[in-house]
Amino acid sequence: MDLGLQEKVVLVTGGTSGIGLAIAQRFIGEGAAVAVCGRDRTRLDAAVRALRDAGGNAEGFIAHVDRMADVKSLVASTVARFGRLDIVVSNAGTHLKGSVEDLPVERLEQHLRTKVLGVWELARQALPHLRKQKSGRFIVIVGQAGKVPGANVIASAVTNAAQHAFVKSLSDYLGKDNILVNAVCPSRIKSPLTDTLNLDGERYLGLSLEHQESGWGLKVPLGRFGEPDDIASAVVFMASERASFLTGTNIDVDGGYQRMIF
Amino acid sequence: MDLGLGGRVAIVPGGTRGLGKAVCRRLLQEGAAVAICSRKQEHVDAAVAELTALAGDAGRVFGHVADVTDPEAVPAFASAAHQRFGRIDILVFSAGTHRRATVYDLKPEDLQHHLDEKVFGNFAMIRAVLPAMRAQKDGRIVNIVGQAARHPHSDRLPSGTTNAAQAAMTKSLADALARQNIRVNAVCPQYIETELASTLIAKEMRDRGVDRETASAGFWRANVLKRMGTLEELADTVAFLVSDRATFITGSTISVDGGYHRYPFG
Repeated sequence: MDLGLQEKVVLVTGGTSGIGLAIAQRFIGEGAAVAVCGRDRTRLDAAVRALRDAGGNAEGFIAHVDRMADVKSLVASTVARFGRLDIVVSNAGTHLKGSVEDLPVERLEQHLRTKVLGVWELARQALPHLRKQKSGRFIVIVGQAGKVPGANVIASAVTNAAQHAFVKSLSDYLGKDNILVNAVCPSRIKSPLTDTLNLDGERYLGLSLEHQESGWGLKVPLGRFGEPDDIASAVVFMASERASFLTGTNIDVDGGYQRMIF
Repeated sequence: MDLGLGGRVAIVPGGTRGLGKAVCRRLLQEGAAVAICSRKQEHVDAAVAELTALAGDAGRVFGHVADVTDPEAVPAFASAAHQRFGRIDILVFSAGTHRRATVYDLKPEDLQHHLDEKVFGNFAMIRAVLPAMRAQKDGRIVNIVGQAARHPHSDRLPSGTTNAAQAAMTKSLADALARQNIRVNAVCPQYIETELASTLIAKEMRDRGVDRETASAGFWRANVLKRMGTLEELADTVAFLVSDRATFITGSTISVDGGYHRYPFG
């Protein structure tokens, strides 16, 4: 299927490892030019090297997406380097585990700053450039805690639900400009995040990821982990000319985990 | 993006027209073979001729006369398709139409027929393809569930009721079949320019003496993109979901509706 992504310019936040890097690699594979950002110079350089080794037109910028000045310069640097901006993938941010008693408000504040306020600013900075093309895509990676709340995912649930509301409202605003705003919702994807993750609490402490799979697998219909590339496939599809009537919606890439039917 | 659909076999009841036929065109372009059915021989013949011309290969298109509300015809169709192609990888269920009526004018027998087509027909078709998919340890099922499932209205009582049942069935079957590597998802269209919509727009143009733009505006004024979607735009999402690029997606629904749906989590 021709996705029509050749020559498009893509910005992927948090694109130096895991899901973000997989997304960047897939865009490179589709012939797009890709800017990634990260907080750590060594990891950023390694990611850009990997993207260029794959024959890609790639650039990396140091940026903390929870710092609004960084977000502004990230978008400006991307446009200065590639001359335009067509697609933004907001992927930065992690999962914050713990109960309301475990997490002081400062931790939640930081989480919201990265995944909600930073994305708000990213949209504000990117919009003028997307509008110039009279088309554009803004895709947010929203962890499945947004749809599947729980006692020990309360911080991510609150934050990710806000992301969903942001995506839907922003899509309403930008439809008239032919800028499509959507989300991809991962859960149970292998990444550096899950390498050290202990699912279902202490019961599985010290056990391998494979061993843990048998535990939460009871709750996940497909009963296995997905790969970062599974997310990347959904993202490049959402960003493509093949998804031009999709806006304000999302795709679950979670092995059937979330329970809502509507 | 390589969808890995070359050599795959898709069953598409309702593939003789509208959404189903557009899905067939896309799957053929990706190298799959398709089996379609319809109640009327002439509809089957016309669609087979058109799709064969597109495929450039008579070996990849199979047509069969079957009514999805007929409990004997459905398994017969599946087994004829299996016999012809030797496998069944994909089922895209798009049979059934959109029906508007209110509690005052909906006759129980009309609701029954709607349920027979879109719920019992869908269920029967899935049961009919399961043996082949289980044997292959691989299956990809997409149900086309009109957006009336999530947006009931007083005048969409039949579609609202029927489509909600289809959505529930999709999720339950996704749970039941995942461990056999059979994925079940739904695509929820709204404002797609089907033959039905085109007919309604043409009628509006004649009745009101207005141009196409004005006539179609009544159909898309509630969506964000302010236009009708094309059949191809729907088919592209279906092709992605049944592909090798979507192997971790099951029990999910994707709206292809230009932003009409109002629920932020859907």
